[in-house]
Amino acid sequence: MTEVKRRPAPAELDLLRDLRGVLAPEQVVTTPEELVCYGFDAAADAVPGMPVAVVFPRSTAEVAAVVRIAAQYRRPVYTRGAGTNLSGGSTPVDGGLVLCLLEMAEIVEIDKVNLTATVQPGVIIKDLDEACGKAGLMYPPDPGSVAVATMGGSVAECSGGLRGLKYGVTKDYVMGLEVVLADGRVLRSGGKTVKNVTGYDLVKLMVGSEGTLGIITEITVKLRPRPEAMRSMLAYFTDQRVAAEAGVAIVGAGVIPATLEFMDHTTIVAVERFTHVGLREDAEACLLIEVDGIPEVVEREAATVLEVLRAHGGEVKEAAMGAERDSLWAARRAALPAVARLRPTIIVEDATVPRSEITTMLDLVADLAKKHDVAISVVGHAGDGNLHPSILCDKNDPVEMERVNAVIDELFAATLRLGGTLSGEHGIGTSKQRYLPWEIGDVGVEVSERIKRALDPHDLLNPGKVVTLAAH
Amino acid sequence: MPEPGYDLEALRAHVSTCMRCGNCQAVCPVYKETHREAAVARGKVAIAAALLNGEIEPDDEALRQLDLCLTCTACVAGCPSGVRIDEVILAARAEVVRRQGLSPAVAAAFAAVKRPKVLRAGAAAAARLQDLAFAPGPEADLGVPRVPVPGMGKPVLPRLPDRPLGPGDGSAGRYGAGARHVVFYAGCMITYVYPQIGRALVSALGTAGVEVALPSDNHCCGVPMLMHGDKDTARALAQDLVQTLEGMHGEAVLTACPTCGSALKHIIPTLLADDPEWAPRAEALAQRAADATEYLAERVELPAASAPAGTRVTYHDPCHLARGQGVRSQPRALITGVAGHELVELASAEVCCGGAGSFLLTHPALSAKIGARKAAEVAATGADVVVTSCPGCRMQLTDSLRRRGMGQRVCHTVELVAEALAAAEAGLRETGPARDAVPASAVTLPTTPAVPHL
Repeated sequence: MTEVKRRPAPAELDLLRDLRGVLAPEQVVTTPEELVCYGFDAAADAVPGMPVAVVFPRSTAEVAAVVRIAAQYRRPVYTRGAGTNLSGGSTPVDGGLVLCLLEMAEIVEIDKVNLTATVQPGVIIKDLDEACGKAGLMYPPDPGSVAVATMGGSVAECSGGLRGLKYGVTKDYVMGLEVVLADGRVLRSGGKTVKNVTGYDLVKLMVGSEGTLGIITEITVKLRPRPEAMRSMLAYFTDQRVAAEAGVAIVGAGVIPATLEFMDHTTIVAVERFTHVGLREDAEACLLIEVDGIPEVVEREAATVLEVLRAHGGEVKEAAMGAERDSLWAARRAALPAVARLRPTIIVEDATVPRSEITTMLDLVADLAKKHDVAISVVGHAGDGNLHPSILCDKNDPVEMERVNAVIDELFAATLRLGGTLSGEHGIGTSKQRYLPWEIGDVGVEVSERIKRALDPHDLLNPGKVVTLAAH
Repeated sequence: MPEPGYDLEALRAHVSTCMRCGNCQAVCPVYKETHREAAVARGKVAIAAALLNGEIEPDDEALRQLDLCLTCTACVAGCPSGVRIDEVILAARAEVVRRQGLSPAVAAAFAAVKRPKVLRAGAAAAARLQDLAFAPGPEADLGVPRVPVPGMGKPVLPRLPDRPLGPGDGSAGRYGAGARHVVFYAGCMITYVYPQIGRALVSALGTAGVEVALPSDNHCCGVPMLMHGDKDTARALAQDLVQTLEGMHGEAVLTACPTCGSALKHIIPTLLADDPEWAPRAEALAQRAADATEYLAERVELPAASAPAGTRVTYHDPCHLARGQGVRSQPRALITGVAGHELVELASAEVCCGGAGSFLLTHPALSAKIGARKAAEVAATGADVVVTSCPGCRMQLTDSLRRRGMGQRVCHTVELVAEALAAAEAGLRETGPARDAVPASAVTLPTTPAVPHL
């Protein structure tokens, strides 16, 4: 039998011995069978890797101890939550340690007076929102992976979600952080006060830093009163352009729905085949809309939404509350993996444009698909211009992948021309790294590198992501 | 030529279709306890991919990770990409066993189960000797190990019956008389651990005018071997079972063990799919297979309860019945309609109880943690009786409840139905236990009418 098993090199044995000195045996995982399960995240184009060990710290002190040991041996630390990242942000591209925070998963406090929650990073987003619900409150950010993704991961990536249009994204909710720095010291910044201008906004710096500037070990977030009422509506269109125009017109009519989601024909069919919630497979596109708030307001807003949808020729169906509504939104959340079954590889793009440009963007995606003979389905948050063109391909076919890469290049160039951004909510990771200068320019890249170097001079925290330090 | 069943190479497409989205983390009971990627479906797919690519060796450590699965199929049902994770995992186990062989202990156990007469003799010996190892449990039909079992402590287990189910003398057993005929395939667990479930089914069918035939001896369906990666033995047993049952006269082949039922309906046809001789025979048998609750609820006329039974009942969905066979409404209809009980749903009735066949023996601590969640849900319903449609779930649920001092009765749906029918026939109605908590010892268990010679 061939020797395929990777055995730790002698230098790694010292590293592992020291880790076992500060962590219990079950907190340090080193068997190849388990390590192969930490080489990926949910991004098809992520750079895979194989860590030396996966560690599961249970306290801030243990995180700090691990970081100090890693610094001593100059080995990288890749922080990981549920590993649902869509830009390769959590893969251990250069070996080293995966630091998994799933065992720090306590909701420390829900403060009903100050409307805040304080949590450890391993708490699942949906679990927090449900706990808030019992107190009549809500935590609005809700990425598609809300049922499995962690608070730590979503803060580090600044996740968006379906409710972004009305309620904003993760960065709009983070008020305070505890962060373990690259040298093992602990930074605390922000807190429960709505107003805080003491010094630089280090909280905002850490939100969306993708694990490259520090390891988030405690999070205080803002909460909102839970809406009393909600109404869900579904509208089918025979033309996807008209569907997008209807979405823009809803906002134009003075209503900001909690969610305003778009699905194209391919997505509708894939989702319906999996969920059987009764979507019309003959529709070219559909909008899924929910308005929420005070009952009287919800009634008026729903009436306006229905009027706009019908004026655009939409065939409208109102979802009953309860199980029917839940299954409809569950169906929407299943969209990406449902589409994934159509081809071996799905590359989910995240290019985002101002709302006013969304129909232009849809046309552009259709043109690119035709021009390069590549299958692209589109699902996304029509209300905030954050579409997810999903490229269906086979990454083992180099000829096809050449065409796919051409599509991505042109897609990003066009997005920026329209005043948009490379990534609305998935992050740069490794997937979009080479496009970074296109958007933020040489100056932006240099400033980013300086920040990285100031906080992590030895490039130990999630190296190779977002910016690459030349000296590494 | 159809692809061979449970073959890792043939499942390559499924391995690559998994986009690693991680949605499986939301539904995996093992991941909920361990938080380890290797426990959850996409981790298993990664291990399968590493085996296929030669990145890891097919050794005990690989098997240890692949064994960390309840085969509850919650991930399969929840996978938007449609990956048959259960088949990938079983195929990966088989691949490891194919390349490194079966462990001697497992091989010896399977050799015994393979031969019906050896198994019957072994079960008889175990029943005679069980008092040496087991002290009486909280109820007459339960026992507790005299010495704590490593990793398990003192589980509350069913006492082995004095007499297993079936004729056991080589004759095809026929029970009851009626114009209609069915075959009952009991499987190992009902035959040797819970024969009362089989007797209850025969009794209920008798009320409906259905004659029941049992095979002359119990033949294992082969699923335990497939679960442990021994595909060759599983195939041999599958063929043996097809041959045994296909010749028996009856409009349906009934099962009351959901794993045996899944075996007849899906697993055996998949296992034998590439065999031109056996595939059509397995498929023909699958067409006749039905769960006992399906048959009782849909294909015979049973009298509805004339009055409410006054008992609050909750129902646990066995994985291989709800997701495996799509049977959910039928047991509930029997509980409320025929038996006349008030049904209070569990918060998550379809989440695995943690028993999962031999999982409770191989992973006792993990199994107990998963079982504890189910016990807490049972407590929240305020039910007096926990009904399920699986002998394995029944065993795990009993242990999970008794270990917490919870005295709720646990039984199989067909037992409840048989009791209700017998009571109706006798013109008197069972008065269920009082709503308040009753100590286990005080609950008088209703008895299923005896069926001669069964």
